[in-house]
Amino acid sequence: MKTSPSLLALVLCAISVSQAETPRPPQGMAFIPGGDYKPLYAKQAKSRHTAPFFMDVMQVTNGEFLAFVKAHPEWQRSQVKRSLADANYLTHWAGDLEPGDLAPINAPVTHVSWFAAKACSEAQGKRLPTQDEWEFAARADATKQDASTDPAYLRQLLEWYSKPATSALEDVHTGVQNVYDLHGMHGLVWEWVHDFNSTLLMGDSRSDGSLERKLFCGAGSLLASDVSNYAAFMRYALRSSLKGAYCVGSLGFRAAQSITPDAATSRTIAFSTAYDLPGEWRNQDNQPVTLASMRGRVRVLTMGFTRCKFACPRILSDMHQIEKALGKEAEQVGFVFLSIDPQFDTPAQMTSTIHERKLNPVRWTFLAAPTDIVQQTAVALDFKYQLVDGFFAHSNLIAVLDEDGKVIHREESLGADIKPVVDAVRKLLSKP
Amino acid sequence: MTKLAPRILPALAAVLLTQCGDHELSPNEKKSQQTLIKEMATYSTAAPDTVRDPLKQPDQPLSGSEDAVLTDAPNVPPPITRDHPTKVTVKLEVREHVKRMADGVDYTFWTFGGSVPGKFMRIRQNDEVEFHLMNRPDSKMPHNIDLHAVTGPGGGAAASFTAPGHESVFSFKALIPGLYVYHCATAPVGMHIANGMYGLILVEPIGGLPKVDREYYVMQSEFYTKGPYGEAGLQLFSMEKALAENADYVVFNGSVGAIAGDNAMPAKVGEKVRLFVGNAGPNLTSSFHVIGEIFDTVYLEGGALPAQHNVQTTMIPAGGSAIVEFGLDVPGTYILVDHSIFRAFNKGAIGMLKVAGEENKVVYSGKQDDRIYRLEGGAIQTIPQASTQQAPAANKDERIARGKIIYNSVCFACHQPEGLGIPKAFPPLAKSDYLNADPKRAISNVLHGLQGKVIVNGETYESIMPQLGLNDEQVANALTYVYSQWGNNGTEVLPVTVKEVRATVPAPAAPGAH
Repeated sequence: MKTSPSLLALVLCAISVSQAETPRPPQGMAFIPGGDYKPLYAKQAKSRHTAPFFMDVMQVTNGEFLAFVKAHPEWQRSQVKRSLADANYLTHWAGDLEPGDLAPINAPVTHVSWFAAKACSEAQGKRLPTQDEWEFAARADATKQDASTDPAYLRQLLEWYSKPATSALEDVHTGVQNVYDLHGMHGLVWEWVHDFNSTLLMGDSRSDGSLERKLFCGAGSLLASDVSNYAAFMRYALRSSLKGAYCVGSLGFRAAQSITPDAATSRTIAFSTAYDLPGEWRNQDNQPVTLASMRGRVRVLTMGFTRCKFACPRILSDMHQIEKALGKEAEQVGFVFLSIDPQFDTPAQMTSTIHERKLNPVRWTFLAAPTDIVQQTAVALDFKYQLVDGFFAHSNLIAVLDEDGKVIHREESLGADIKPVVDAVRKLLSKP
Repeated sequence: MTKLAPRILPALAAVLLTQCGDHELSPNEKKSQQTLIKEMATYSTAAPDTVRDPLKQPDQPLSGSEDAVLTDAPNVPPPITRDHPTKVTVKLEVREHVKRMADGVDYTFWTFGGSVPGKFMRIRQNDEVEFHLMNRPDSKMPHNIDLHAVTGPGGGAAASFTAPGHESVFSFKALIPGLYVYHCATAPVGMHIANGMYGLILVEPIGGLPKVDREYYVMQSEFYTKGPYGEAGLQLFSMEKALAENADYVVFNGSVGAIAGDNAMPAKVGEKVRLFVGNAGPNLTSSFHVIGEIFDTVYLEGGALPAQHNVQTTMIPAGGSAIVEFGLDVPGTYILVDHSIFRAFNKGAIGMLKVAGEENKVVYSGKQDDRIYRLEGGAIQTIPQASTQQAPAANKDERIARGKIIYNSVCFACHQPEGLGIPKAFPPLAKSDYLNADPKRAISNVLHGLQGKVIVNGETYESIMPQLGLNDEQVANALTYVYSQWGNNGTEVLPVTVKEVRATVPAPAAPGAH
């Protein structure tokens, strides 16, 4: 296994830093000490811990992004793949290599997808900050590390949200500087985070309490800790409205870096389907598997974790029903369970689930991979998940993939009628 | 309980008939009785089960397709003439932009279709709606829509959750007729509503609504701003005030004066008018009233049944609606208000229906009689006698201090504590060219009242100022205070001047004179 979970890396550096002096941040970055913080949704959850890390002092500018697309032509507006960035990608630029009047060189770059932000960060040897890191650093104002309960701070944030989006954004230097020397964490643009898809607020914030029981497992995790923190609600709402390829006019990014260099991550490369994504998975027989090797067969796929007590057993049972409903045709179909829980879903654990649930190991493939690989695959499949108190809250996904890995049909509500899925599979199988 | 109602109604009508049988009825009484009996008969025979359970109403099969006609307030799309349900496509664009809240006051509105309230949608029961929600690329926020007309979790909210620069599509069938509020339900919901994200969708019952001559769309809502009412400039949303439910603006159709003055809704004598009235809140319940009218029919809470007649004021809950209908008998301007009346005169909840046509002196005698009642005594007779015994003010400062007390008890109700007046209704006293040009004219107006057109700072006002019944000293003090404030020229008005004006300027015409 070439890559290791970045989570583990973070924990390791937490230990080393606590005994050492404040590390010197690289040029253009600031040292963020890390610590405990309580996120918006943390009513029942414990505080979350963030290890120390480095963070870009300012957002990535149009000028910096121009240098990136010059060096990596596949990210130029006319070249980029639609799976990586939607049609709004750099739409305010005058041309492929010409930001133009609407995108001043020193203003933050916007209209960039998560994949583009990630690739640009990687090109600099950095990564996107995690949501925890970003939220931790963003609690600070000019004088305090934690201003999150200061009414003046909250009012300032809301005032930005109350202002209309101007045509051209201001210089990144104009952003308010916080106690860590970070400029413009609020007030200029929204920012991408690595695990934006861990926000499960969903479309209808009013019913998260019940909706989440219906749609997600990890009950009770989504109740906000501070219902009057409108500013935080809006950040989480924005994140939950996004998909990896979305490009939004008020959404930019800044990069982060771990104190000890990050282990090689799953590089962002152009892909057409999830099967193009890099990274090595392990199946229930502990054999290495790439998603590319899944080609050539129609598959019904889900993501989850085998310890799940609520949603995943139901999803597996639905998939089993789909298999039965397909009858003899099921022989031509693969059933895939991608684990989001690399720590617990060992080959042995996955094998035992297959036995317990009396699944046919010839047709059923359970796969686990390190966190970074899981994350990129999840974003590509528009799958949301979040670790809360040792369990995952996650989307309920049953997807039908064609022989190239293209998602032809998806179901996202638990206990939905299986017929549309069966029909979609049959339609694919009947293609010459 | 509701199932009993149709059986009781004819019985009740019979009782009424018997009781009234003894004495001679006037033609009007006869007419209204006949109407009542006819309506009761209608309710009891017109398949009441299907009125109460619209799902049981037989209908034609779905056929055809069309794009919904969407209108900005106060306009309403034309009535639906189809006798069958169809497939309707609705395309609604979300836009965040700065617009006028009041004269000199701007606000960043979040809108469904560019205006507040959002586009009015009109569909028919059993229509199948394909709903497209487009969020403009220059939006900062994700948005969605919860239509109260939708039967299903969230009313479409989760299905329509849309990031900036994207479009969501979902479908629903309009099972139940009625007038429904729609609004954005993205976190934080309160703020999305407080910024203007709401509107009305009418689901017409099978067979449609009774024909009327005019229909208008009126939606009440309140705004919470950082600065107080009237503070100029771009005002920002105040979460503190919203949480405390302490609104700065309570308005019809999204801004102060949106349907008042030149923007008044026109109508004619003899017409029957229907108002589709919504209340978006986000917090306040409306006591909706039209000054000088009585609602012939109110579809309470926007339900499909004309449930109440002869209503003066109808309650409209936040997130609710009402349909009101009334005939117009007399020309003039009819003022729409939230009869929680400080909202109307101090926070903007004023609309106008301007009715043209022939006078009907029998129904309403007109202005001569009104003059008789105004002439004697004046509006304010409660200025304490004691004050007349007070020694005259010794100097200008004392005059200003005393004048302030009079202003704050007599004048402020119309002219407002800061002298800003009420747009389209009461002229400002602050920086007033009219006032500064001629102190004697001002004295005369306070002494005798004022009626007719005046032009103040370029705006035309046509209201009535009553006589105030103040003595010379009080008039002098009040006016000196006004001249000393809000950018006026500082004129000191002396009681002797007031006396002079009182003696030289004739009082208004006596009763009966023209």
